[in-house]
Amino acid sequence: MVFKNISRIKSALPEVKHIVMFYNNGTIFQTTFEQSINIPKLGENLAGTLNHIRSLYEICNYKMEPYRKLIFETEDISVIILKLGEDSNIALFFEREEDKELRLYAIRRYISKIENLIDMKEEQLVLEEILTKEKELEKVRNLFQVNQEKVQQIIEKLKIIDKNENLEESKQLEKQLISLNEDSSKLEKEINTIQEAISQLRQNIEKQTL
Amino acid sequence: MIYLEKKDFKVIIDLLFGSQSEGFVNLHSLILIIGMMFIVEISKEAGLFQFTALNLIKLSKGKPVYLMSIFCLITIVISAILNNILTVIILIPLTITVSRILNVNPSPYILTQAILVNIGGTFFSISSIPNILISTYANISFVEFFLNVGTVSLIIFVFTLILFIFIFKKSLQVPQEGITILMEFNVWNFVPNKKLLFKSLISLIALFTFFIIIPSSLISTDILALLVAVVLIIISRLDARQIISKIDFELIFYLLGIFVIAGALDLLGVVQVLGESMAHISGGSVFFQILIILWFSSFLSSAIDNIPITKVLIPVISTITSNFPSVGKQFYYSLAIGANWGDNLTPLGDNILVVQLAEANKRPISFRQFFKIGFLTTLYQIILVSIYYTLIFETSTGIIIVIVITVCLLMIYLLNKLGPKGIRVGIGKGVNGIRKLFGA
Repeated sequence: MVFKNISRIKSALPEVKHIVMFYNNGTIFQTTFEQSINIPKLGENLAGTLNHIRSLYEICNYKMEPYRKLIFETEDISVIILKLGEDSNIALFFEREEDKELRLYAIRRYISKIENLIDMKEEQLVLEEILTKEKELEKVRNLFQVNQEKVQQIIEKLKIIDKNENLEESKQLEKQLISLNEDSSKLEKEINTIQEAISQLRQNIEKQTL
Repeated sequence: MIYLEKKDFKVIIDLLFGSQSEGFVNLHSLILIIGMMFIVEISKEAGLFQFTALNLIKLSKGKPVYLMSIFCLITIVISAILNNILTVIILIPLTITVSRILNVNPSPYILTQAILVNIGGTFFSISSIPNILISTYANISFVEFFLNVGTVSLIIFVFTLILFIFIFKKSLQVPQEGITILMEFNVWNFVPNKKLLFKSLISLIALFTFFIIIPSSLISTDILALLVAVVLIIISRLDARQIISKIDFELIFYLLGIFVIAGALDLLGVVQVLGESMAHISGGSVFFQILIILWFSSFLSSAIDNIPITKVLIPVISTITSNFPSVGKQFYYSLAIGANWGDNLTPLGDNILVVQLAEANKRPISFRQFFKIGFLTTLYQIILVSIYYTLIFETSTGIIIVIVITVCLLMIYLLNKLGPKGIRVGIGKGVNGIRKLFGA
């Protein structure tokens, strides 16, 4: 899937000589460079370049917003590093051609596809957790509902039974009622805990998006 | 300086290493550590560990339980060769990268890896500094160590893996698309040079073969490690200065300091008193003595770094052993397990590094969750080792304990499958409670 997108980028921009997809820790996911070059060092240096720029911002007291691209042009070769996902980047090595502007917009589509493939955002992770919690909440709510219905049934039965005649049965029903009420209060507590966890996760997402 | 000039350099040597008669510094340990550092550094430079790890991860083919098992297996294999800190530095970023590709939450994998590095650390006599200190002091050969400590670690690893799968089973789900993309990850991207990779792999295999086939009475393990390190430096054709610059000299000097402190405690008689009182507590029972050493060293190493603990406890164990001449080296094995595994009882030491690495890679894990799972898993592991020792030294009691536990587990399983609904619900709640207790 990633390979397909790489070849699409290359056909959309024939002047692209090489592509490197790398993470901020320097790990290279894929590259069109041959294995004869030192690939781990390439990743280390690309990640290092981004780190240097980050330090530069810090020194100048600029707030480092998530970057979009970094361009380095020389006479023959130009390098553009584009931000892919939360922690991933793509470096494009171009052969410089006179009077030709880079048509980066032509490859944006493929880049966003690659981003979704190789780098899941933390927000996505939190969203999935929220979904799991919501499913859990629904289950507990159903259990609570069933419990409440049982409680109601027992209350009804207790109303009907003559306590003097069916003493044993009424005692048993009362016992059941107590244990069901205990279960209900536990389930209620669990519902509250899950709801709190969900709202906490939602707050986390809001913080991240801000 | 005038003092030193008058006294010649012997004073400096004595200050650093203690005098020869006192035997403060065990040079065999230091040479073994330095030799291993060189081999490991070059293998790391060759990308051997990441290359092996990712190849193994690909083998899981996305089956969640396989993936979890492989992550755990990689952790113990790598930490059996590297020290714990290096292992987590290599594995945590790799795990997070893989989780990004697979679209999964890396927390269960990170937590289990952080705990299992300690198990891997007791596989071989060269797997951790405490092991090196113990084996060089007590003259324990590589094979002997593996048979008595490594195999125990292997058994406990299997039980710990089962526990982790039980705890995290619900949260282990891997989307199929992620697996297809992971297969496109080029593992050779970790390797700067194929020749260097094979050279370091062959050197490691040769080193382990030498450790197994050459008796330490003929050539000691430190000399073998140094020999392989020198050969690897020559054939790797790497810049020797660059490799030397990456060697952890801070650790060497730290060890020197610990050696001198431990030697001083020995000289002052503190070690003797500690050893005799520990022997007294056990009431002359080898079995209780082993358990005391196991639990004492693990709780001690949870609060203080395990290197000084081990170094101070080695002569204490030596004193205790003199009271139990028939027991051989069992006390040292128990110390190796306790000192290495106790580390996870508190989220200190290399565990802080794990939390920092996870945060730096934008996948923070909760410190509380780490503490909970670390503490409970370590307790579980030490209890299992205690049962193992019960089976060896108090066989009948051990068998009864194992039978009781097995029957209880079997009954729970059967009741969960065939029992009335109320009981099944109760068991389900209990299982969820255990999972929550571990922070899953």
